[in-house]
Amino acid sequence: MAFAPRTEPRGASVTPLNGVAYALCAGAAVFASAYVAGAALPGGSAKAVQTACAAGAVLAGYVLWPPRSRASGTGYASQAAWLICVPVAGGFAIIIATPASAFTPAAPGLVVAVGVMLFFMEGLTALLTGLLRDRSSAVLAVLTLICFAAAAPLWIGPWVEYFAGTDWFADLVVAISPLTYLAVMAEYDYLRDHWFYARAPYGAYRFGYPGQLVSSAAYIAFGIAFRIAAVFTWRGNSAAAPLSPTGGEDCS
Amino acid sequence: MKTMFYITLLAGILISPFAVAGEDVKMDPDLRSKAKRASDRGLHFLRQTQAEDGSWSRSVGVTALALRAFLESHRKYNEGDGAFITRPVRFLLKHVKPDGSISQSLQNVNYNTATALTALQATHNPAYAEIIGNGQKFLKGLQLDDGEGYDRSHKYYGGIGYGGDERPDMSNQYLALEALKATALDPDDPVWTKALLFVSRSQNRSESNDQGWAGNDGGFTYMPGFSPYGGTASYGSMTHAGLMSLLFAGVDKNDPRIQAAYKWIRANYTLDDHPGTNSKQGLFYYYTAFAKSMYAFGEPVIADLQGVKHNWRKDLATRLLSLQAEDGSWVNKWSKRWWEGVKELTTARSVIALNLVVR
Repeated sequence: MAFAPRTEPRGASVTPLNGVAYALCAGAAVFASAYVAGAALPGGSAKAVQTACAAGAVLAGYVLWPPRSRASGTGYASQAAWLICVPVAGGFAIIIATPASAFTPAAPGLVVAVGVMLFFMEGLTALLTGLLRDRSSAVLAVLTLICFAAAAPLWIGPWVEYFAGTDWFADLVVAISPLTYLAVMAEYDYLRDHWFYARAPYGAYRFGYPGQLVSSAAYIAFGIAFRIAAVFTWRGNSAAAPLSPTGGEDCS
Repeated sequence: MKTMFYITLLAGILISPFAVAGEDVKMDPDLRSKAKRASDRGLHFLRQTQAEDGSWSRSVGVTALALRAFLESHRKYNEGDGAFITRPVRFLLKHVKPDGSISQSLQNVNYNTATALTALQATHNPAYAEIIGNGQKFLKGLQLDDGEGYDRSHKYYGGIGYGGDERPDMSNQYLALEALKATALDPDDPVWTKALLFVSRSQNRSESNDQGWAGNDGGFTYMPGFSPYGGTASYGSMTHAGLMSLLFAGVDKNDPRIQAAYKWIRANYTLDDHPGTNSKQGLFYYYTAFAKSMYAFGEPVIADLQGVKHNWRKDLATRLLSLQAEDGSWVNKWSKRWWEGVKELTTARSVIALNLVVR
């Protein structure tokens, strides 16, 4: 997988013009990947397509996270803009990928979830960048973690049967999957949809999805906590070698 | 005298097969009273485990099944018998949504609504007519058809699923059809014709199933082209669900689809495990579906393909009695799947089955 450049040479600036160009290109990529993710789902329901679009937008938005520079002074502003632009692009993909008759009131919530997930993942990346002292490694680690967590019902699912009388364990496995968050925001019972049902026994167990507000609050809280921890980690590391928690950006 | 002897002998020879058949049909009175006692003990367990708000297991579906177990029992309980009946009814009514569904969560909306409607209907209280009517509309709305952009040639057409996604299956289908039948939906409603398309496409019978994968053993899969037990294998609970769905939709008992399903049931007759699954997963779901479909089918004795006759009431009662715990409950000790680790649910299902055994 080819990653977009994370850092720019010291002293380079992000001008409004190339900032707009980058946003347009990246937006198109986000849109395309979200749309392809949704449209490629074989025999999927409208909610499945919407959730896949959102997942595509999250991954594309994360991988294409915009470059920042000390000189431009656009660090937090560009991140904020990105956290708005990506969900909007994902929202358009959701609208186009699903027929009008199947568009549900849950779709706007899904758009918000894309931004929240990006915020969470980027926070985790900042923390890991501080710990690993390398943003590329941190990005790879985050993507690996997210993939493992998203697939938790598939690979932990078969063990749930052996935890007799412990419904909380089944709930926990479901809750740690980021796919659950997107599905919950889409009001989509994804573990009983055909693809998952055919591959994991989860649909046959008693479990509950976390609530929309609780999930959103948890991801935002973890996102903030990771960023705070990242600042402390970065400060601890800065004496040895200057490196910002967000990849070359001076947050001070 | 000699003539009288031969006449008596001839009459005896002619009548004896019917007398034997009569014995097959009858259930041993001792076993029958034991089954009633087992049902009472199950209901006693349910009364002990009922929550303050009248619910069981904090679930509309489980509460509805337990309520139905009381209402259909040989004791003929009704709302006049006390709070143990009126409180679960109130719990169900508390979860009626503006769209007509009855559910405490966004999951299993069809299961919850269907079982709640069947239970409310079993109260025979006309005060719930409007709620039942709205529930019928909701269930009909879950059916996949032209409204959702499905063409009649699509394998999902006419099917009903969980309600939180769109893919239908025979389990959800039969529970929804059971509720619509119990609440006396118009037999000419288009929902039945559409449902038959989906039901026929879930049966391993190539003459009436236009799907390329269809086999010819007459049994039913979970949904067109998929069985959780491998490939498109037929299995017990879904075959009984399929047989019931055909009967609910008004298909004649002599229809080849029904006869093919019945043949599969005869060929795979057992109550030791869940036939077609090589396991005891969903065992109590199977027992309930078995009792309901055999009751609806109306044959007291099933002759398997080896010619051995089985009084299904006797066999089911004996099996359920052997599995009942000291506290009156039932639980699937082999598998938690399909919520059968939840005592309240498994007990409610067992009592519903016993109610049909002694009816």
